[in-house]
Amino acid sequence: MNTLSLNVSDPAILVDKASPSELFAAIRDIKEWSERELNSVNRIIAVWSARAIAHPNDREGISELQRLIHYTLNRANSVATLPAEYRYRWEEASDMLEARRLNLAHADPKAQIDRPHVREILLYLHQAENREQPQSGLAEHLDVTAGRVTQLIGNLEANGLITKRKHGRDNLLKLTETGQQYAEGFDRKNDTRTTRGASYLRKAS
Amino acid sequence: MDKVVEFINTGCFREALARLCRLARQPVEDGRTALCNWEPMFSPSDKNVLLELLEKDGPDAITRINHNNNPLLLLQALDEYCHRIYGPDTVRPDDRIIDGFGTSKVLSIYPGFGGGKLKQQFGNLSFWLKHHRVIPLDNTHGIPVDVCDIPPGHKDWTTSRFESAFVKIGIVQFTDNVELDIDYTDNNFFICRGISDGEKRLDSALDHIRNAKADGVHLLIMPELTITPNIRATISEQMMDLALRDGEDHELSVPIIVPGSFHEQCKSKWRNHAEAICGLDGTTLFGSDKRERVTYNGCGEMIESSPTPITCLTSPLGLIGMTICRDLFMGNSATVLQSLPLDWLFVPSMSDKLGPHKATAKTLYDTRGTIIAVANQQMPDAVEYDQGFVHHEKYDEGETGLTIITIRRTDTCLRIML
Repeated sequence: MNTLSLNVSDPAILVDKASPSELFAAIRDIKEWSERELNSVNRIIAVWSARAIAHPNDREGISELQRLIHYTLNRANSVATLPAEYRYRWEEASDMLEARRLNLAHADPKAQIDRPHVREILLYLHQAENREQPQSGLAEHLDVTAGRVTQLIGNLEANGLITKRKHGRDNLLKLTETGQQYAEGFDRKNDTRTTRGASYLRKAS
Repeated sequence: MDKVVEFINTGCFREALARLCRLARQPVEDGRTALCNWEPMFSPSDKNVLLELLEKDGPDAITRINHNNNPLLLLQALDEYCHRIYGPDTVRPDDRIIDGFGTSKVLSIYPGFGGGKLKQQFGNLSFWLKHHRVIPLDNTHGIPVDVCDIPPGHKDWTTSRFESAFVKIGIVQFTDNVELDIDYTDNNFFICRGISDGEKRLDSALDHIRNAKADGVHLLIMPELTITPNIRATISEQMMDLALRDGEDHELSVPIIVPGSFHEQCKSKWRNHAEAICGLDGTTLFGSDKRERVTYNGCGEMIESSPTPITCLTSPLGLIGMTICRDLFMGNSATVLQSLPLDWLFVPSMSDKLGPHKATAKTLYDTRGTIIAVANQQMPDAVEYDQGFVHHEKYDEGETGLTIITIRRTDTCLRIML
């Protein structure tokens, strides 16, 4: 692999032009960490971090960038003493990326589906055969408070599993196409997790 | 216990939980712990009432628990409440809790985190703590303990590799006839300065990793004093090369690898050091230094440097520890290590007899649910030697020197599927 040169007027353009592997290889190839190299790497990390955080859903990209920062921190520390200002900046960038990664991980519909209350709600709406169901009925079915149901519904709506429509003082809930697909996949009779989930939910809330 | 109440009254719930766990671990008569005395006081029906009260009254419900009559209910209340207010991702392994006795780490756990059903039995704090593991970082022996996390950028990759219901462990034994270059110093000590054929050993190590990856191994352990610092560095470099060239699923990408241990100079002092690395790009996960020196040919092992703390790693598989050879059962470090709620313990070893290793492995598995994997290499000139093992069982050597043991994660007992 031909190593990319970081000696360009604005290293930020490399974030657009080069692949992550090429950037990684270029940083790995640095022999002496002079002020110029530190500035170049710093600029790349700053621009790349900002883009990765702004990206709607790129967990792999975030992990890749975190690995680059981790490697760079270790590498720069072992080759020369890394000035504290760079170390703090890069560690902070890594922390921000970690927060974003966790945020995306929790918002992943697949992660949501594994939660017991989500299965219970999706099954409840699925049994209504595509008719809208009042939110108040859901609270009664799950035997939890109205406030708790609002929290649960918010998560599901944000993940595109259900839709919510205002109807008087109540909300009407309906499965989206994605939610419908997930609900069809559940076999209520065989799935003991759902029953356990409902009882857990009643206790926990 | 008064201090626990004080912590609760001032809203320091994690501190209260850490202190209560310390109290539970304190020894009482007959070598038992205070936890054994607390267990008969607990009534399961109390817990349901407690959950309702926690929902209704929040922390006020905790203050109303009679801690003298039912300390375990208080423990469970704190466990539940800390889980609700802090959540699993707000607590990081580097958060330290000052609990009055010393420093502890309160780690959040999640369903499927480590263990197995043997952890779920009386006499085990893990049975009573549903959402946390509490690790005391200091002890009466003065041996520091630390907990580290998987480095940033490697968590998703590692988690995705451990999603299966089975864990495959690979135990390596080198059969390449490469010999140790042992140097006896003037003052009756020995050090291993290298090995007779470094390239051959590097090739063997890479072959084992490659074969392990092809067989879907999750954890690969190599024996003590089988590599050099250069080989260790080269393995990481090659992994990084492959990750850049072939992506995340390259031919050496075994999730966690312990590439043996080696003698190295650290600030002009010698140590016997082992590291666990991530197979994705060779990043170091955590390390361990040997503390108890062995005697070989009348000379003691040259271990001069102050060892690093006993470190464990929080991983999707649970809490992983590592120790070298006889540190498993000898000295104060073994006592400290055995007191930790570990789920896995990796032991690179070079010993002619594994009897004490097996006895300790059995005890630790039976009492704490810790699964121990020992990779053992034949000592120089030894006539008799044992191969490594997982738990306390022995297996036949594979043709290539790589033995693979498969463990079902949720089993009450280890089920071996060779």
